[in-house]
Amino acid sequence: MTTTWSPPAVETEPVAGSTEPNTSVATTQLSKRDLLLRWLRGRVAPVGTAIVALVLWQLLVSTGIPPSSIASPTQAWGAFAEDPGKLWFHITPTLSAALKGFGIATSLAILVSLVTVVFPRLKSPVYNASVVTYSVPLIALAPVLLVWIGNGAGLRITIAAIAGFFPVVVGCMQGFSAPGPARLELMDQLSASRAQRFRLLTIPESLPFIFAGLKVAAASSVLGAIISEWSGADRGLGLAMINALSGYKPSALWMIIIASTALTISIYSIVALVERLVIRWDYDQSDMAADTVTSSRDLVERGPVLSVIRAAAPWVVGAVTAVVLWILLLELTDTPAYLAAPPPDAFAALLEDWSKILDNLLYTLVEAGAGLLVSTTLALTFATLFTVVPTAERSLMPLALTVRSIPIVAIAPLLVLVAGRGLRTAIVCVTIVTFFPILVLAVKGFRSLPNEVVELFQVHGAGEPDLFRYARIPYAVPFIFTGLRVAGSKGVLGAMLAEWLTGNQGLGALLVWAAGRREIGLLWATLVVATVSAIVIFQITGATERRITRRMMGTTA
Amino acid sequence: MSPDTSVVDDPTETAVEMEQDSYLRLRGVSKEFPVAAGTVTALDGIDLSLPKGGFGALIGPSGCGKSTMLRLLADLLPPTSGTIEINGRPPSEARKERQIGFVFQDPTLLPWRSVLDNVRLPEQVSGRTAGFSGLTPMELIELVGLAGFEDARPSQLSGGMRQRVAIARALVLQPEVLLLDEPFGALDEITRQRMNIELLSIWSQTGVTALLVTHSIGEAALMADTVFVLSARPGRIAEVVDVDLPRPRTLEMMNTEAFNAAENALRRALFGGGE
Ligand SMILES: Nc1ncnc2c1ncn2[C@@H]1O[C@H](COP(=O)(O)OP(=O)(O)OP(=O)(O)O)[C@@H](O)[C@H]1O
Ligand SMILES: [Mg+2]
Repeated sequence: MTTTWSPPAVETEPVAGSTEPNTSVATTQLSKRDLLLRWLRGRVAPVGTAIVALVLWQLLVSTGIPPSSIASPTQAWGAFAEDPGKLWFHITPTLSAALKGFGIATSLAILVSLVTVVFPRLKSPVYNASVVTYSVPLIALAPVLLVWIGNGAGLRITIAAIAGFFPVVVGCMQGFSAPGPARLELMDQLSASRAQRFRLLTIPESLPFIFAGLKVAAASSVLGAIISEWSGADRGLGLAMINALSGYKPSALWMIIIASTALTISIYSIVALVERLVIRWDYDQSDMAADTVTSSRDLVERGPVLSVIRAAAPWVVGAVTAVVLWILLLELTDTPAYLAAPPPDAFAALLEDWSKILDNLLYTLVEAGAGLLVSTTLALTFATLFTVVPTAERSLMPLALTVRSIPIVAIAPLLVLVAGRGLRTAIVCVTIVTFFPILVLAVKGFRSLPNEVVELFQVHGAGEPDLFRYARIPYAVPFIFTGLRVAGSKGVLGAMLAEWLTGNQGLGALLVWAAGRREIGLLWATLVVATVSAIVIFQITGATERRITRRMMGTTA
Repeated sequence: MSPDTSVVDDPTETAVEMEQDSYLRLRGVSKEFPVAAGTVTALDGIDLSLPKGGFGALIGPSGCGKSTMLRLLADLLPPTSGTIEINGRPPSEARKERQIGFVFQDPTLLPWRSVLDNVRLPEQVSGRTAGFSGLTPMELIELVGLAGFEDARPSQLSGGMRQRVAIARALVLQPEVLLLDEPFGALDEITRQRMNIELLSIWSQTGVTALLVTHSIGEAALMADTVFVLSARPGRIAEVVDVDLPRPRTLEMMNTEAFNAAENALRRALFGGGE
């Protein structure tokens, strides 16, 4: 925030009597109304782009070239107009579960993060536990949690809460450690107490990070609610999606997907609006905060020495604790073994069906990898285009920024409808889910080089290709790796969702299979394998990102 | 200690008083930092004293320990050895009693607070105001020439204006000691000289004891009664140069014999004899 622009002479004039030019600077304090207007103005470009896209889409469908599975906007509208009450009937339970889940997730996450402020030693365990909630495949939660919570609103609220928990924890923890050394020293100098330091420095400084987390969490909670409804709800957008998919009603499905997306964006925007009204000072980290929240970058520092042991130890301890708690819980609640496989059963299933689980895991990983390859190629191409053609960036980037923060995996049923039930559906799903984080970070990376470097190349008469080759790409590498890291775990979970819907192959399909046949041991074993794989990918990509960043930025030793 | 300073506790453990009326005093102060390969000695055997209401300047090559010395005086760091006294008492007491004002190299304003609220921050933290004799935050904002800007946010100010806010903030609890770490380092020469004169007038109005870290020989000579020249690592006091210019100082004095003499003495001390 310590900008180093050199002051124009006018502003450094001593301000005695005639202060016309100066006071005009001082009185640019924005009112709430101005802030609102400015915020709305920022939405114009993305909304305009969306409208243009709608018109193009309508024209395209009216040519008759696309397959019948692609409904035009007017057809989707027709499906809505046919029975508007029906949409509201499905929206209300989803919205309610999402909001309640979001509320629970937010309160819990803030509470837990506050505990880590008081006891810094708990930071790493709390963070690792949160990673588990992030890595567990949401789709597998419903059949498992059903045993304890029953198939009702509570189940969907719980899943919505689990979906929203991680971003808020990351936002809070990141925010609470945001104050830099200079401001901390100022507080030292003023002999501020711990409480004063927290109130006067930490809270305001953490707000951009917390809001970044809240925005993502709000959208994630909607996703959690929808996905929980995929498996056996009697109302809700998720159920409506599945019904429209299995009954082959393209218009209805498109309409519901549009409604779900609109709902997600609205909730996200409401939180963003609150953020605008609460944070009224200029802060240039809003974007950075979004990055750190969506990628949870560098949250827990690990030394290079013994990092493997140190990284693994908490997981081992956590796993053992989880198993013990699991057994205790089952004993205390007298859950019948056929409902909730105790660890021995899950373990037995793992031993018995290991080759099946491994096959499906590999299948999922291959799909995720293929999708990631496609999305990386596309994202880098678009990022290059955006960098070279600023107009393209201005009209499309705001949309990309929003979409990257919104879990769009809820559109998976649509992909199944359009792309069929084969392998490529999962790949398409992974591609769409992972495209945006890589795109956003790649654009940022290409633009991250200081102006002086650009000028240096211009002075030497080098064109944009040389600039890309020698400066933009090297500068962007750490950013791209951050994007890949975010995309990695998203990709695996996206592949599983698609598999769950197509019932084809892979861990997601195995989950459906096990749930359908009440093979609880296998269900648990698959859930654990899926979660562990997601965690491992999260850790490996994270370690790679840290190493690359460190090497590129020269922050060794 | 001398009778004309308002000493409460009389530290009698030292046999030899270096100077009769020293208000800020370092005796045999060293500071080492632990680093990967052992320790770095930032300061070594520093003796320094400044009378009440005096204006001292610290000058020396980059990395010689100037900022470290201010941090020791402000009790932001403990010395490795030696004693530090502010009005005969350890700096920790002076800090807790809010007798120290500190202007950091970077203004370090809180961007979510207006200018006025930034200046008020020390009041808020300490739960007290400067009292009858002191200036109110608004008066201080006027004093540093920012009247009309009290509701502006730091991001709306220029670098020099921000630094003036930091100075007002450092003065708000009417400190006895004002420590300034290259406060004008980021400013252009013209703005900087104007700020120098403004700071001098604030200093004479408030009667505060000031110690200014600077890279600029001219600034040191223009502002200070006494300039302490530090040698490169480890930081030692290479020379103490008194500036023989009358008060109040003006920019015109920079053309005088006495100013040139002081500048040359400083240059010789810094660059070892040349010229
Ligand atoms: N926290 C620290 N840990 C380790 N070494 C430090 C620390 N603070 C300062 N040093 C070292 O102490 C020495 C003096 O630092 P200091 O910041 O006091 O220098 P300075 O004279 O203020 O320099 P400059 O004029 O560049 O601001 C330097 O060599 C620096 O590397
Ligand atoms: Mg310094």
